[in-house]
Amino acid sequence: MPHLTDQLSAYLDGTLTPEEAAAVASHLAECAECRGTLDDLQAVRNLLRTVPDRAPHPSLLPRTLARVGAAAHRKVAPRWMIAAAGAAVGLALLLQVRLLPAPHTDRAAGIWYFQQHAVFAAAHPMTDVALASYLSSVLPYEVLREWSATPQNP
Amino acid sequence: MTSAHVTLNSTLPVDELARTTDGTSARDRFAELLAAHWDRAYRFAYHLTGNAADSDDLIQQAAEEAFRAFHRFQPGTRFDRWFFRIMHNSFVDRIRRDRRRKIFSLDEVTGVVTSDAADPSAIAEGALDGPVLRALRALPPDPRAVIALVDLLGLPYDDAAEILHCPVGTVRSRLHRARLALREWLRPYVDAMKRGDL
Ligand SMILES: [Zn+2]
Repeated sequence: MPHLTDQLSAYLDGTLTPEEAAAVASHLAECAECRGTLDDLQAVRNLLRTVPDRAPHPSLLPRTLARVGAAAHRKVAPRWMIAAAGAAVGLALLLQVRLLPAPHTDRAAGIWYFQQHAVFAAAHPMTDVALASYLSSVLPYEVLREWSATPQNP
Repeated sequence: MTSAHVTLNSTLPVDELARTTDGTSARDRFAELLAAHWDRAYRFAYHLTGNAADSDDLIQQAAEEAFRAFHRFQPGTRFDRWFFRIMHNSFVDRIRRDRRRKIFSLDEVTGVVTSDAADPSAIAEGALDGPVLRALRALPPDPRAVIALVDLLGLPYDDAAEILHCPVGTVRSRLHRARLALREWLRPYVDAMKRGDL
């Protein structure tokens, strides 16, 4: 019969089922080596219990709570801005897929696109930056120039 | 939350309102729970890192992470286990980041531990934690975490398994191997303990 392994630690800690514990006990009754290991494990556990408690410095909790509060305030604005930027990118993609006639290389389509953009920009200022940067990357230069000179452009 | 408070804040954007009303009271609840479990959490941090400076950093980082995740904490469940788990995750991340962290080999540890006092029965009362702490620090992080939770903090196996995010059987085998390693490293003290000399 093989020697006991981690059942010994579990036996010491009292975490075995009654059946498992009985099996370990019957092995121990016949095996001096496993009895010796069990004694060693108990001594190790007792040694570990001599380790004194470590107390935190009294100022650590108030310092930590102050940091938690500060971190919470630092976090909010960027998270809100990131969400808005994400929504803008999503909107830009949606516009391209759902609203644009494709392909949109001709001037009329480009101007129509910018009119749509102007409407959205007025309603949702946060989306404007992302949408404008997206548009400037996909539209031909002459369309951008034409649009830039248009008086009703915001 | 009074209705007057809501009215005062109602001009804020929705996100801002949610932060102000929820943020304030959630922070108070968080502070209360953290304070209630602070000393034990600190002991776990101390035994994970092995020194005061790193344990201060670890518990502070864990507190910040826990507060950010506090909306996912379910009231009525055990805050200590939840927080310990976050702290252990932070600790594991730190170790992965910090490749310079040295993990001693068994031979080095044996030298460190036994050079402290050739005759364990001669060491003064209360000085024993020196070699024991050095042996603990020499354990690899996973077995050290199990020893800290079960043998130093007295948690049951299934609590340790939940905190360490592993099966109970893994806790049991890690704990056993860690105790066997400590037995070898602390052999003179183990024998003295068995003789009743300590
Ligand atoms: Zn045996």
